[in-house]
Amino acid sequence: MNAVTERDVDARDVERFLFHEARCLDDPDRWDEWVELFTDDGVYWIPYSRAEQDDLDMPSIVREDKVLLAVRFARLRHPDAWAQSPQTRACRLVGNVMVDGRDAATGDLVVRSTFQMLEFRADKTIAYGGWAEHRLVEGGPAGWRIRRKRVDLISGDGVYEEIMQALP
Amino acid sequence: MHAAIDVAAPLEGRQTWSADRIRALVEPDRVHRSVYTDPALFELELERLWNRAWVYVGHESQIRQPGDYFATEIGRNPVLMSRHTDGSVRVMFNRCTHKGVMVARARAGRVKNFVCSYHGWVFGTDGALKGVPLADGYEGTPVRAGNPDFGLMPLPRVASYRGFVFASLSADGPSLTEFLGPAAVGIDDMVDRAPDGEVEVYGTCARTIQHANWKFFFENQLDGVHAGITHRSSTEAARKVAASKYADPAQVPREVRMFMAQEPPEPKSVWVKLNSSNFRYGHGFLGGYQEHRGDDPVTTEYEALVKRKLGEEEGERILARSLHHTVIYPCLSIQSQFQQLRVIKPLGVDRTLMEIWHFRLKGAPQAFQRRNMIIANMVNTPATIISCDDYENWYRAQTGLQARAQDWVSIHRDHGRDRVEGDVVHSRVGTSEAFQRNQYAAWAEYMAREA
Repeated sequence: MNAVTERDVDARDVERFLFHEARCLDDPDRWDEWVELFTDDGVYWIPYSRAEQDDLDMPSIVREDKVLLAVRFARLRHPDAWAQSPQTRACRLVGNVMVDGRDAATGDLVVRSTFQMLEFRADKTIAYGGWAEHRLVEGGPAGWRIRRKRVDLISGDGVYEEIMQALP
Repeated sequence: MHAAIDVAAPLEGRQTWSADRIRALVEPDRVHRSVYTDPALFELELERLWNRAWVYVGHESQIRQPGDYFATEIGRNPVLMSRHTDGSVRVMFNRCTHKGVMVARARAGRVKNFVCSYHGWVFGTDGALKGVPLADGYEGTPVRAGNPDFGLMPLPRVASYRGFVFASLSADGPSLTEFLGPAAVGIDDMVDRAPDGEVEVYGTCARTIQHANWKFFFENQLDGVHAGITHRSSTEAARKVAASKYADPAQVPREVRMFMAQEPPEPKSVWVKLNSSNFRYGHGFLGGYQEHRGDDPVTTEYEALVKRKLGEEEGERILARSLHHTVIYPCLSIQSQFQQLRVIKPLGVDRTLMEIWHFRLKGAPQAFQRRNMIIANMVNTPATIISCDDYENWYRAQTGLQARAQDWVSIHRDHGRDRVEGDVVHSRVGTSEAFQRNQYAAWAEYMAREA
């Protein structure tokens, strides 16, 4: 990992990008915009455990490229998505944003943050929390694109009271 | 023929369930709603069904080294599967013989001994009591190292079928092989597909709660009608995305095509062409499902390897097996083509835990493993866009069945057209409810039999 300087990257600018991302996920009208924040080879990954390093050869809670993410959101909007009647609402709080540096091999900006997500459906609210690691590249209308987002839930290998419909 | 018995009276949950009353809950083509909703019947199920049947405990690959253990439950009983120092697999109650404290709290681990967290009683990996602190206080009492009465109590019966460990709380009953009967093919199919003849558990087991009675899951497993309706949203979403992103349909990735594949329940649907075979004790499988064959490079490489290892004829016999799901009632559903095992645990009349275990085929090429894992990631996770709609249905059914207006649930589909061969009931079509009729016949047999 290579260090970043103030001149190279404005940490507040990165933080604003993560807030923007959370806002897109919070708003069903902006889900497509969220998918478009990813690079064409972008990957969204939720492993079962923090120790997991291998997204291709080990089972995951979510391991999706842009195409599968698009399918996920198209389903959420489908009138016959039975588990979406009533609909899920979710909000995300992102904090502790730290720019860790640049990946020495790819040059991607490595950003770590902590999140809490509340998911509400059918009169029941479920709390999720954990850490995110973003690998970002410069570009796109929002200033950055996501090459890879890894989400580690503190409850990753726990029992799920409901199937998670919202993504952190 | 039991019409004279008012099965729902007096008030649900407070009545005594005599054998006659229980038998009256299951008719050839319908089931009384109480089997899903009555808390007293659920308690009876724990005693008469879960404590009698062979119940899956775990796979031997979870406990490779002496001292490795896996903690699980059979019904409400906390149990431990452990690898003893002599290499044997032991299954015993996870309960200290002093005050009843669980000796293992983590779901899995490795120990030299099991040491109780309360007063420090020490048990070997075979459950034998090895020592207690302040032993002189027990002089003249039966509490002493080696007394089997004070060892962790072994389950009355334990047996393994090709590495899959089952236990029964009942000292009598059919052997595991007799119990599994022809449904053992579900396990055979999982193991035989491994080029090196062995499978192992890998990754983390996914655990999700169904807010519904446990029996809905098994009614769904071999149901060929629901897919095109329940999962319509993901099918149509995948079709829409594929059409917008790929000009050439051949370029659509396999996982997206699998989402797209669920057909509506029409006479020409692939589901109609399948058929279920149903066995004693409620087991069964849906056969004729060929999703796993193909001439793509990944499948070709894998199939060539299997045939090289097993010979052309034996290899083809195994590759041609076409099981969709195999149900081992009341605890397991095996998706052998994709190496998935779903374990069902009843928590309450309207609350069920499902565990999803992933298996790796030893000796299979990486690309093949990877592809099967992608299917697990789509269908069998706590964030799946497929099973969430199944869970929703079962919740709706559990809630809908609270209605006192109508007491019966239909299992009429294709009734009267099953083909019976000895102990085996074959459905005519893959959309038949024959397997549900068979499950409930087994259910009534367990439940009406008093101690």
